[in-house]
Amino acid sequence: MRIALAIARKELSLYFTTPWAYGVFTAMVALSSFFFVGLLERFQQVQEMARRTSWSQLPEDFTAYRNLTDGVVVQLWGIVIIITLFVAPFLSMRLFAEEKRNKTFELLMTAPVRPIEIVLGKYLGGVGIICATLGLTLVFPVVLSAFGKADSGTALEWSTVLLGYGGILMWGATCMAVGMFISALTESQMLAAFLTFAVLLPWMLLSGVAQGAEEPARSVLMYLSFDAQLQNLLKGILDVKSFVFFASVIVFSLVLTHRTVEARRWVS
Amino acid sequence: MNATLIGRYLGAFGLLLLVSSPFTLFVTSGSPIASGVKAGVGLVLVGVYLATNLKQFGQLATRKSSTFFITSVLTVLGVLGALVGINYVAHQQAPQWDLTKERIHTLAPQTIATLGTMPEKVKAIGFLPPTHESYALLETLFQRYHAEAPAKFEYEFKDPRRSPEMAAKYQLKEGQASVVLARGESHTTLAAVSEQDLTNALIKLGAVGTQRVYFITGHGEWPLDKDEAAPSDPGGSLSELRRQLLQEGYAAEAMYLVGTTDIPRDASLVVIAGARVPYTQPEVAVLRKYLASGGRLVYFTDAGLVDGLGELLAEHGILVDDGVAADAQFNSGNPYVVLSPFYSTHAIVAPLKQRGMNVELPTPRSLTVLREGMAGGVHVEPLVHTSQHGWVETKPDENAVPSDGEKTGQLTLAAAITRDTKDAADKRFDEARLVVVGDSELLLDPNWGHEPNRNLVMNTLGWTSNQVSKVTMRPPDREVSTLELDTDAMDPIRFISTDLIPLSMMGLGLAIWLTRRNK
Repeated sequence: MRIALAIARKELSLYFTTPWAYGVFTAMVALSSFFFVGLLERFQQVQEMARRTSWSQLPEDFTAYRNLTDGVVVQLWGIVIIITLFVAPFLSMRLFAEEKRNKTFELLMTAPVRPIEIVLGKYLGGVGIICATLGLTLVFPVVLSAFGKADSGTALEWSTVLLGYGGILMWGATCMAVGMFISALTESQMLAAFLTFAVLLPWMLLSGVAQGAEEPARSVLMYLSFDAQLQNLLKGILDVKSFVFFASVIVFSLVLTHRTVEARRWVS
Repeated sequence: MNATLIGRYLGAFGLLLLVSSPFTLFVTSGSPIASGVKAGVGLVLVGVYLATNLKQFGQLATRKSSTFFITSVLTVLGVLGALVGINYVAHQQAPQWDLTKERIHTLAPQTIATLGTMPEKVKAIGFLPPTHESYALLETLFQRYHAEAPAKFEYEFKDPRRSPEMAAKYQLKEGQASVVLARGESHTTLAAVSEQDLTNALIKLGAVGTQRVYFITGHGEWPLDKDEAAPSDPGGSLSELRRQLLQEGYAAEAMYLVGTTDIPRDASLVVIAGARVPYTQPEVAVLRKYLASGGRLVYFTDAGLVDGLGELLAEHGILVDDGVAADAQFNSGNPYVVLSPFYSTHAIVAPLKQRGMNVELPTPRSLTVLREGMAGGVHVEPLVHTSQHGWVETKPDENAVPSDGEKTGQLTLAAAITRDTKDAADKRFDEARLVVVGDSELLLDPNWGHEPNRNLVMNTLGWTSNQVSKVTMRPPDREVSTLELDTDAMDPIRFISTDLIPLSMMGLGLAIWLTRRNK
């Protein structure tokens, strides 16, 4: 584990000294802040409408806007998840593909390091960078907390906010695991990024596919859908099965990556 | 370029076609033919790859790496199987916790009580297509109901376009999201998809006959309809209360006492809400007779109202104090708006006490519980109190502090009374029930959104009419939190989030790039 942590540290230092990572950070913050401001303005519009009439006069869909947590943060987390879908492949693409392209992968394989340590080290490094990227979005609830008001004193329901954030981190860690496996399959970073996106996007859209399916296929597809698994966590329901599901995808991706790395020793 | 290489390209392209064919079917075109053609061509191309690279597969089988290949496949399959097993168990048994403050994703006690007292199985049919925006919400709701009472609540979804005969059977309007609740031969339909609506529909479906509630009128009581509200006070009606009563299976009607000699036999409950003109002696006599025969009455009054019912109330152990009940310790900035977390252990207020909810009573009157002079078999139990620092302000326009001669201490604001009427002639019930509440403004439309008050009133009506399942907590709403930002406050937020933070990140990246370039 010590070696894995050393590899993770190296990966993280590589990320943080690469301008590319800051480009990704910028994209994440710029996109999410654009949506944040939009949500904030929408929230204020609906609240103004409710002040002029009453909540009971507004459509059912508007009840989410009674509260800053539901009206802004839960919806923002939903958008951050989509942005992560685009950002994570660019962070995971270099994990193995770059080593292969620079021909340092063979060097790594001849070093006294076990493949499991390489895989874990690189994965932990990847998780660290995605957590840093997603961590930037925490600034938005903090801003809301500073400016918002509620009778009970706290404008935000932090248990819901943080559980949603935990769900996002789990989603980010899953994206990195899938991305790392695909990165281990190719030398081309761009191809790795594209393939990761091509795998994650349809997986995310499975809930849409499930809507057209009949039972029991529908239930299976809904269970496999990232989107459906994240819904409860974003709304404030601590759903153990969602964590089990994401952990399973991560474990399976790590096993596949491990076998792929190990295969380099055997296949000439 | 040799055949092996071409085969690889074709194989990769074929794999792409094969993998993307479900999306052609479900996402892009929806055409089974296009999807089938794509999948077929994909399979052929993958076949070409296998045929042109057969030699490689043969080599693989002879190498020592084939052992690795086989163990890898077995390992991956083993891990996959284990993970599928764990996920199956998690899907069946993993717990959930609702971490929201108001537990808004958990079934309300009212719903649980309703499901628990349902005499037989109810089937809910959601008539909406899977693409409808409310589909997921309704499905989640159905799942929660089913999980709570699997033997009594079943559900299914029907697409009204694919099942026109079912839509016609239940006379559903086209394009409208509808839920049909069917119990045996009877059914009820609702258009909304909230928990409160669904539970109300279940209550209605399970109700044996309608509970008829008569609101006495003719003495300036609050009207039931919005249209009857005074022009100077457009919110001064009980239309929201009436709506809720209808949803919970009551029928609410106005009734004149003048000219009557008795309360109708079908009355489950009689309500007096904010009378401001004194009742005549014959009218009081009708009410007295009603209570003496085991009737059920809920009485709401307010500061400054005179209605001539003091004697009748005194016979049932209650004296309504003059003046306004005030409490400077627990209020919302105004001692005459009493905010109270102080309840007795009575069934009406037990759910409020359990949830730690404060009722908010604007300008209430306090009650004095009498020790003597009552009718036989009367038992009085206070429901809601002020704090120890309460007092009765007899001159609210002049000062808002306790003065000499004013009643002080923990005041009673609502009380529940029972009276044994087992031996009464021509009795309606063995026990008369009367609830006296020193505030009628909590019934008005603008105040109906206050959740604890709403539960206090509905529980009062439920207990008085002896409907145990209705003495509970209704589904909560999210607390309203606001963000009032003017342009001056919004501009810095917009600047910080859309400008400063992204630029800082970009600047850091630029600095690192320049540093690396100069090395």
